[in-house]
Amino acid sequence: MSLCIDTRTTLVDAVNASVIDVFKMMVNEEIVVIAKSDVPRSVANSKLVENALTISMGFSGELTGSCCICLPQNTATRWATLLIGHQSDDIDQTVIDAASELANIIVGGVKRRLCDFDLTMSLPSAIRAGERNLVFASNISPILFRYMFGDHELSVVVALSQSSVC
Amino acid sequence: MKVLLVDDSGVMRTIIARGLRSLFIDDVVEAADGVEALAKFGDGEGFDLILTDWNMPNMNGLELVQSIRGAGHKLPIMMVTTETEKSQVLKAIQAGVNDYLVKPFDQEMLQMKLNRVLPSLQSA
Repeated sequence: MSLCIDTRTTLVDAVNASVIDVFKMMVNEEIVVIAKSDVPRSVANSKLVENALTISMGFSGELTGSCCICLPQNTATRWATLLIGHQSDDIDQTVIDAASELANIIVGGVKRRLCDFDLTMSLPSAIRAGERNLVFASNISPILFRYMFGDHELSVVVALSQSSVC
Repeated sequence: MKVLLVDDSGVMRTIIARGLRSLFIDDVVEAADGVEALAKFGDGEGFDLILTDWNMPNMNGLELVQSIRGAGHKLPIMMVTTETEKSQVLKAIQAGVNDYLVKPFDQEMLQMKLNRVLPSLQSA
């Protein structure tokens, strides 16, 4: 079932607040929201695999689905540098671990802000692909959030359905 | 001052250990789960504080706290976690956790929490 309007509004606020909070607290960086939209339905973009890293985490409870944190390669490596001083031009294991921790804290923050929905979150899974490679079942309406910190782009794709009636 | 730092994320251990070092706490023993933590803790001799994550494989943070308190150790234990649900917090306090550090956190918050559980740190 699609999200109720109120739930969607609460979710958008929770995601934005959590992302901004994590960047401010963990690496003292300002991150700004540059766009929010529905994810295009077309699967045509998925044919070319992006040089990026996506961390996916599942939600269960009154809201069910997933939250994906998508980092182009230069964003993923920059994040690892900011967080723990790790220097790498490639997506190595430390970069994956740092991105997974980013997802864990962002999604944990979203869960905390949505405490009325009694949510449980899964462990993070990493995928070597980007936001344009994500495709979804037709009964889900994912929301795409785009952010910038410095010259680096980050996106969050939230694909949830609601079990209760609006 | 000697700290046992328990987290299955090496990245998080690096962040916290760096924060501790900036407070002149250099003697940090790291463990990736509760089982490894208990092995490294031994009889607890010399340890002043335990910082532990909640969700970890093999033995989670709550089970670790129960085991440490069950053995009669009184040193301060602080949970470092994203888990803040009221029933979970209550469970942790009942198990013997002294304080909570919620992720995300900054250096200032880490220091404030450490000062609270280790008053001797302020006078050091």
